[in-house]
Amino acid sequence: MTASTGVRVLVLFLGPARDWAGRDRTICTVPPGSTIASLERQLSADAPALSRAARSIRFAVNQEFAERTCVLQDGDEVAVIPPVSGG
Amino acid sequence: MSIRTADWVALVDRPIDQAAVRRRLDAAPADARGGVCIFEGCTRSERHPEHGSLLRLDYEAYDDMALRQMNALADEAHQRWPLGAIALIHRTGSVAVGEPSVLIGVASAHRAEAFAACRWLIDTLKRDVTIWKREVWSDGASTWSDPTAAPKG
Repeated sequence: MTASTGVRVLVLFLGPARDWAGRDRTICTVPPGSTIASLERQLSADAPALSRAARSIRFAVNQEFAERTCVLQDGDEVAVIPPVSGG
Repeated sequence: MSIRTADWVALVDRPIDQAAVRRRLDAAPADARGGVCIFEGCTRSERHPEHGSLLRLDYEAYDDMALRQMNALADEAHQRWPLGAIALIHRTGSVAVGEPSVLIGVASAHRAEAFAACRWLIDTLKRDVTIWKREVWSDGASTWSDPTAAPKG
């Protein structure tokens, strides 16, 4: 895939985030060099409930917690992680 | 990430086999098993102002990440305290009122380390491990458990 075609990532909406987003996953294409923060803006445009919960949401990339400054790579699995409630 | 032979870290979709956990902890060498601390977290009965009594909790995990996190917690506990064995087992699926959803067992030479490690493991698991629960009520409604509500233990 060339840089001009964009970066494709799989986004998983986990736990309560599934209800906020109205789906459990989606595939997003973002410009090369995009961060989690810019992906989050794109996702929130479609799902206001996600932006209302933004302060409590963490992200994981390829199953490791990641900062919003993390730059996305083609093929990444990005998980939207609401406050966990195990135990 | 190393997994010590006596450790048992797992997500399970059926009732936790407490006897098997106990056997695993008992397999730790006797000089590292002066104190064994076991914590069980169970579904507590609750009443909802609109939806009636709690029937069960439905747990779901981001499985691969949760398991990786749980193994990392066990590793870190071994670094923090001298432990003979750790069991870290969490349920997924439906857990009825009164049934355990999580079991943490720690064997150590002395009780102080066993208590400290067990407490740290459950507190850190509840803060970070990617597991969520839905409360299912007697009127058929279900609600996501809100971990940001007032802590109830």
